[in-house]
Amino acid sequence: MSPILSVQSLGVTFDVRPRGAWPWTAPLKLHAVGDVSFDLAAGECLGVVGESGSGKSTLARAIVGTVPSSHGKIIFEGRDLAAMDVSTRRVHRKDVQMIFQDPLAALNPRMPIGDIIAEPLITHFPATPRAQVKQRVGELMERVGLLPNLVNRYPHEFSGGQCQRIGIARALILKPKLVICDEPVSALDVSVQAQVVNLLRELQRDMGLSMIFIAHDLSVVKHISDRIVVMYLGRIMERAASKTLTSVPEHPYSQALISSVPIPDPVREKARRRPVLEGELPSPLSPPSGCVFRTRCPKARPDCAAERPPMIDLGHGHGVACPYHAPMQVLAET
Amino acid sequence: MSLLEIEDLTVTFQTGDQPVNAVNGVSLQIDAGETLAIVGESGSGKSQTAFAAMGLLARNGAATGMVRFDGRDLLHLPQRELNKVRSTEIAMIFQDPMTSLNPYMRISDQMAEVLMLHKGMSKKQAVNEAAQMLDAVRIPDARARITMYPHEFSGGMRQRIMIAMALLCRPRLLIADEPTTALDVTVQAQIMNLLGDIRRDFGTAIILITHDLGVVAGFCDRTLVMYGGQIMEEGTTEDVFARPTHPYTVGLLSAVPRIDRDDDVLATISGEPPDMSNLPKGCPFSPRCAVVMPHCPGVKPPLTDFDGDRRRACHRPISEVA
Repeated sequence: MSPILSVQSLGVTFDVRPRGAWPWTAPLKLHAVGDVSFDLAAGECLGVVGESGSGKSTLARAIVGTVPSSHGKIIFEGRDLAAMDVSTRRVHRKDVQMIFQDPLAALNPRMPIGDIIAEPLITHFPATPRAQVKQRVGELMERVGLLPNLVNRYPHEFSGGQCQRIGIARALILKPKLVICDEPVSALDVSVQAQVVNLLRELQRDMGLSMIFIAHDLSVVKHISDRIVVMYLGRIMERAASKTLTSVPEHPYSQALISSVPIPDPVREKARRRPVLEGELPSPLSPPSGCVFRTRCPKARPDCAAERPPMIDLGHGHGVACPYHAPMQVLAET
Repeated sequence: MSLLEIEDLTVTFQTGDQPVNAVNGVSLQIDAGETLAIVGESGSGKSQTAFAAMGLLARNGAATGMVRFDGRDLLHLPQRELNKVRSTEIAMIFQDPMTSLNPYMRISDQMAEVLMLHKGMSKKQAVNEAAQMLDAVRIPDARARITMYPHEFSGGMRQRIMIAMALLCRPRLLIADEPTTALDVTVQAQIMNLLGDIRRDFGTAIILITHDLGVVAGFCDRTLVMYGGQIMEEGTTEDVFARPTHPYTVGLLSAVPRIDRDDDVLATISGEPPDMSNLPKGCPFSPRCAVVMPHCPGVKPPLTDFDGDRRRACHRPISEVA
């Protein structure tokens, strides 16, 4: 089966003008995303994890089209979104919707929530009769767990979890094929987070949605995704089925990342061996040569600086961008 | 004798409409060198408890009750003496290190100021001492970087600077309010390791205020769970995690997705976080409780001791639900 979305060596570059530079000096190039490739099957949920600055949000924005890509292809249902002109792309945008991190900031404070949820429908299908719009809004509100009689309330009257439900309803009203969630639950409290995660998972299965789920919280990503992609400084380090990736990761970065995730179990947590990663993310303005992770890598060798390691295919969709990869059991057996 | 003892602490904020009780009759204590976690979601009153103890409440807030540190009642201490305690004996670090550092001052000046004011050191001595402390929190090349401004450091480094600053006067108690919430997991692991080393090397008692049960599990001796401004349950960390008895603790522990497990559906706590201006008279958790009884919303469950070192406030603890 051909994938619904195929991202092929996608790159996103920003121009950065250093402070105090002359207007005529060439701006510096910041490679937020470099050479990212992955496929997403229809009905699949792909998790994207990485620390801040890894380029995961920029990747999402490039797929939705809110930042221009500098090279590469974004093939959605057989057509390259990156090569389209603005108006053609706008037509395709209704099939790709996004859910944002800060639920309150993503909603217009001066619009009643019914109008917020209906807006995408009215924008893309202006001829829809009002009664039908109203009915769709009512259906969706019920579907995401909001009482339909709250339709005339304003966003500030809702809690964070409810605002996120409104955001989900807005993203789903056009019956999109692909939904991109950028840190959808990181602003929510644990008890509410579980509600929203369950809701997203249920909607994804029931509606057969393809989903890209971006978050820094690996436990949440693992819970909701079929496959996970690990990013570091704009590049993919490893991709694998979520269970494989979280139990026996191959890339030294995935291993460090997963062993840093705290487990709410005092006995296991205090007994864990933990290769703590030293240092922090290098500046994306001057990324290390060769493997971008080599400056913090416990396994780095001199030749890592020479050239960028290619993605090695280990079978079963497991790929790792490290020639010295080795499986490591990061979590003790339960 | 305990180092810090809080008894029946209540914090009330005067708002436009009506007074709001953010903390309601909280009692706790921490011994020298011990680590205590205060766990709760937003609005649970965990931060306000610490702010009240430190005399850092917002202007419309007032605290009643008793906060005794080393025999002195902090709530009724004159400002001058309170400042002395806050500088040399209790220190606090916050979630967002950028907003707690002065963006216009070099790190050297900010850190030296503390020592010059409280320890009467000369500037040169103070900067020297500050650089040593930055070394201790493992800031690479500390001597050269001490003259930099806060914005020149990354988030993790800024939090290290905050920790170094808090430790300058060798406090006996460090209150850490969500110290790693704004940081990435790998940096979080570094900072928690650092706090562990500090506790070991300096014998500092640490109160860790957080919503992250994973961080608590790896770090704290005792855990105290708060909800709606009140204590729900308390005990040793191992005990609370292995045998939670309050329905809220049970719900919270099972609502956290775990990387070491494959749950299909997460257990949830139904409903929304509490509205602090409109709490039930009885148990604040009763509107969301799965095993609520008719009298729960009306009658406040007392905080009672059980099993020796544990406490809880519940009319129908899980252990007694058949």
